[in-house]
Amino acid sequence: MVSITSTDNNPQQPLLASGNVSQGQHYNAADNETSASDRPWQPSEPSTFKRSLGVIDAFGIVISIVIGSGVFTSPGAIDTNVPSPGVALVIWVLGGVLAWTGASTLAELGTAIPGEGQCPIKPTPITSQSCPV
Amino acid sequence: MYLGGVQPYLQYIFGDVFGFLAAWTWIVAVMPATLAILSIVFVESIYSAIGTTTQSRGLEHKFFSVLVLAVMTGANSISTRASTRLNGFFVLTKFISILAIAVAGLAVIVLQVSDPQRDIGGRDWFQKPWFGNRDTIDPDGHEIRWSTLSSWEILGHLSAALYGALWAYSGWDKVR
Repeated sequence: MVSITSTDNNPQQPLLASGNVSQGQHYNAADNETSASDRPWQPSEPSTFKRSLGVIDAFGIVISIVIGSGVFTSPGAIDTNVPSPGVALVIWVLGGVLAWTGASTLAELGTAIPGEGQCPIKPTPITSQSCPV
Repeated sequence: MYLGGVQPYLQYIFGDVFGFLAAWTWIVAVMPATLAILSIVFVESIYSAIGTTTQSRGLEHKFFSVLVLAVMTGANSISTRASTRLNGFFVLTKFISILAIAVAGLAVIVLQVSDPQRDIGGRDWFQKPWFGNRDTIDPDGHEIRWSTLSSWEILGHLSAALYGALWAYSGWDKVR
């Protein structure tokens, strides 16, 4: 886990910054009024958050959230509400299918809308269009 | 500030009001309730591991739950790295216990099938029909007789069960 994060040689670099974007590009109030909605949101200053978690850490967190303690607590809630063990198994599968529909919907949105999936804390000049995700 | 993927998507698609409502619901209701449930469940599990299952209404129990919540909040405030390492430890523990349950189940199946007369693992799955109705005694001591319920009532119980399953699967919306 540690080895992944140690390869980050520039922790101050914003996560969104890619090769074709010049670093430190600032919002200019004059050209914002005409073209802010046409182009992706740019951070107006480097992020003050230090990047301290790597890919494996993030993967571990997500796995840990999804396979949460619910696996150990839910069987009780299910078993008191079903007439037989077979029905309980069907309910488990049904719940899995429902969760899968939600997860694939979010995956579709995540790939269709570029960006980080989070709004910046500091609002950009045109608030309503500050977060094209 | 961390928010799940749902809030910015709703804001992008339906506008600021819906994005705000999503974040507001999340911060005011969903997260506090989830953390409270998890803390209570944590302490309840510890009590069950010790062998006490009658303490769940005690003041002591509530105090330990609040303590767990405070300690976890403190750990996250002190260092993200430390709490992530702690998380790694918990993931490992969880996987080991899930694996142990699965292995135990498979072992019972193999032993039972190899010798049908052997008395192992309660023999419930081996002798009773999987889809036959069985009367349920819920935690309050109230007995549910499935054959006497109307289909509307059964639907209510099944919905509650499905909600339990969804709670177990929850977290898929946190990937982004």
